[in-house]
Amino acid sequence: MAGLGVHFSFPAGRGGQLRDGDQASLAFVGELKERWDAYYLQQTDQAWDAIHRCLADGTLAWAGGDWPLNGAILGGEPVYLGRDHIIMFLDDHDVAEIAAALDEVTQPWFRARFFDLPAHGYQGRTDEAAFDYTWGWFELMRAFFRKSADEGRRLVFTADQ
Amino acid sequence: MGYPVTHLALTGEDASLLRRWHAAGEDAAVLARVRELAASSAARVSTDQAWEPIRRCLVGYHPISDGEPVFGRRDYIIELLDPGAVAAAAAALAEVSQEWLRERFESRSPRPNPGPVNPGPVNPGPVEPGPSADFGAVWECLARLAGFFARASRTQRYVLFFTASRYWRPPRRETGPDGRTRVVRPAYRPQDYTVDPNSLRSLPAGGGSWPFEAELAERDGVLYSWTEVGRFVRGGRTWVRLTISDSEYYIDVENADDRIGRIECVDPLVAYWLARRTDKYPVVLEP
Repeated sequence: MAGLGVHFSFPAGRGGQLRDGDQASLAFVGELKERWDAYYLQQTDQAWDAIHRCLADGTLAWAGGDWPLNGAILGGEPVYLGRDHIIMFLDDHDVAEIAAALDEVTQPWFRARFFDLPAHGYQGRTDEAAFDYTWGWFELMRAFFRKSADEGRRLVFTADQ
Repeated sequence: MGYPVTHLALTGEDASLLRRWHAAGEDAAVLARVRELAASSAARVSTDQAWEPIRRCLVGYHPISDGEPVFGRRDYIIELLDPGAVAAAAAALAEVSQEWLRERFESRSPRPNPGPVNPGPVNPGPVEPGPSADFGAVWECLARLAGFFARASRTQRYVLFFTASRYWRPPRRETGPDGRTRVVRPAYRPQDYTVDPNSLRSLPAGGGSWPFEAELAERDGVLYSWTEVGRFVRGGRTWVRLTISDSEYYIDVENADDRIGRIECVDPLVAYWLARRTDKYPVVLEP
C-alpha cells in the first residue's frame, strides 16, 4: 500500500541542502513537516500513486512517461536514495513548466488513463469511487502547482514507503 | 491593498439615505449611490495604493476609516463617520508630522514579496511581483487626507470610507508600464475564493421543481443567475460547475435524475486555479 504523499513548496532561494545527501534531505523535509504550514503544502493521501501512473506511462517507474506531466509526482530530481522514503525535488522553472502542462489536463483524458491502468499492472481499485477519489486529489494537486508557480516557489514531493 | 480607496464628504441628507437603504437591505442601491458620489463629488480623496501603509501607520494612533457600516455585502467596505468622528480624525491628522510618519512607515513596512518572476510558457501567463508605494507618495496622500478631514470638519460633514473589502479582493485589469493590458491579482488567500453562504440561500435543498437543464437555462430557473464553467462526471453522475458574476468562487451541482441533486462548494484552492484559467492577460501577483 502506498504511503501518504505530500508536496511542500519553499522559496526559490532555499533547498540547496537537498543535494547534500540523504541525511541532509531528510533533515530539510523533516523541517517542512515539523512546520506543517498548510498554506504551503498539499497532500495527495494515497492517490499520488494512481495520479503519477495516469500522468506518466501507467507504471510507477521514475523515468516512465513524458516530461513535464510525469514530473508532478515522481519525475523530479531524486534527492533521497534510501528505500524508506521518496523525496523528489523540483526547481521553480520545473514547477512552472509542470503547472502549465497540468492546466491542460481534462477529466475525460485523465479518466481514460485511469481506467486503463490495470493493463499496465496496476493492482489498486479502478472503479468509479476510486476514480472520484483520485481525480479529487489530482484537482487539488494541480491547483497547488499553479499557486506555487505563481509564487515562484520550488517543490519537494515526499511519501513514506 | 492596491485597490481604489476613497474618503468622501457627505451631507446629512445623503448619510440618512444610505442608512435607510442599508437598514432596508437595499445594499445594491447603497453601492450604486456611493459609486455615483465617488465618480462625481469634488469633496473626496483617493489614496488607493498609499492607503494600506497609511492605515498601518495610524494603527494605535487614530483610526480614520472605522465608522458605522452602511453596506452588508462582503465585496466592499462602506462605513460612515459622523461629524463628531470627523472632527476627532481631523484633529488627530493635524498633529501628524512627516518625521513621525516616516518613523512609523519604516518600522511597519512589510518584508519584500519573495516571489520572483515566473514566466509560464502558456496560459494563464507570467506572474510578477507588484509595486509598493514609496514614502513620498504616502506622505503626500496623508497630507491630502488631513486637508480633506479639516474641510469636512469645518463644514460639519459626514465622511464615507469606501473601498473593496480586504477580505474579498477581486482582480483588476490595468495598463502596465509597457503599455500592454495586464491583470493584477492578489496572492492566493482561501477567503477570496470561498463560497459566500448568502449566495446559496435561494438554492433548493431538495431537488427543485423543474428539470435540471431548465433550472440552468430558463430566466426564472433557480440556477439562471449562475454561469456554467464546466461539466464533469462524479459518482457516475453528471455535475455542473458554476460561478456567479462579480465573484471567484464556484459550486458543483449534481444532476440527479434530471433534478437538482447535491450542491457542493468547490475547494478555494481549486477555485483559484479556475479563476486563473480565466485570466486572458499576463498576471501581476500582488503581495
